[in-house]
Amino acid sequence: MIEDIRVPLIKERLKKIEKVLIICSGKGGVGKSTLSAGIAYLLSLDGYNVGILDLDLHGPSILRILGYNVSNLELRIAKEGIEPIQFEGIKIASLSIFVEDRGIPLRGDYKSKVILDLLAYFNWNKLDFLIIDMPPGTGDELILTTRFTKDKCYAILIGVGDELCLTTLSRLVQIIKDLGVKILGIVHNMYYMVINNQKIPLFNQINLAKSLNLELLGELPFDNCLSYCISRSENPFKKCENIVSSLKVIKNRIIEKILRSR
Amino acid sequence: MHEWSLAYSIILTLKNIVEERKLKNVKEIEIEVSNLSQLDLDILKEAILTIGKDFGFENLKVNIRELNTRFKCNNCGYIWSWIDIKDQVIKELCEDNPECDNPIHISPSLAFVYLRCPKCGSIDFEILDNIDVRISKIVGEVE
Repeated sequence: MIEDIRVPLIKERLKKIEKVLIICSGKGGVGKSTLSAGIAYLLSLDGYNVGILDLDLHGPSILRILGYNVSNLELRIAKEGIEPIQFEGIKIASLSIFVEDRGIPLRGDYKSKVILDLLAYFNWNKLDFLIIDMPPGTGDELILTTRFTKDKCYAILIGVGDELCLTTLSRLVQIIKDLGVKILGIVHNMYYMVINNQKIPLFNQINLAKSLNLELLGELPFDNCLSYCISRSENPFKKCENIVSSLKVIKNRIIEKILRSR
Repeated sequence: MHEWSLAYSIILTLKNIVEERKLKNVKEIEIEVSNLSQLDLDILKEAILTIGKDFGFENLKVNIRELNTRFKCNNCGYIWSWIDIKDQVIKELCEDNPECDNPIHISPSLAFVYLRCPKCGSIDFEILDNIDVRISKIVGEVE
């Protein structure tokens, strides 16, 4: 028999999830996980049931970004499936729950199998939003996830304003369109720093949204507050006002766009 | 406990196959599992039978075949089996509780995170056998 037994269960799980937001970029280190965690946190403050699936298999970081002490991780399994970590009002699934801080040398088919295991065996129950923090690029994570979520999936792109990021994003946009997934827009990250109430521009200030013909959902500043909080295992979205005020604008635009697209 | 999720997956899959291939009176199924999954086969069988009843699969005979998993080192060519290293790996993962829900039990591909070639210590190895749970046989009637 060729049927993968995980697939029907994945479809069952997804029936209980209203919307899936995939946070993507062509490059690493441009803020996908920060955006995923921040949007999830703000949506949960608004009263939505929110989950995050950290699909950055080789470098899961969502728990750390939210200030969760990963030394306390415990794998909890019930008859219905693996229980996501409940933290800051968000349900979180991540390979960190399994492997803690170990390196994850996964290849090819085995990476796909792990993705299917995560999608099938984590029990989200009912969610308004499942936010998926993608790794950079256009590999198994993107293709497998969108295969199952296409009818309720929206892509949110993020990048910094330089040529290299633009090049990788333009490839990603094409692939996401070919996969039939709606792109809500793009977030410009680390576009400026605020010093003495003045905005100091960073990178080459390339307008990614205009270059890629996408809607600009908002701009995020570079803010040392973020790494400061993460280093102290504190939730930066409770402390970093510059980032949070920009994230609120982005979160509201995301909701508006989803409501409009119904 | 993971056996219950697997059993639910198996029954959902069985239901789909039965509908697609227009089968009726399914009397027997055969399931293949890898020993790398460290499944409790009695619990898995009980879970399949219990969940199966909810989906109308009454009086189902369930045969579960547990297959050995072998590995081959890409560095030195050494071939070894899960049985050879199981006790040591589980001790590392579970400490004093040999029945703990360890990561390889939940997602056998995570063996790559914890295993090394017993001969040369390399992390570059292949898994030579199937590690997925699958339905290998269904006995029923065609409508």
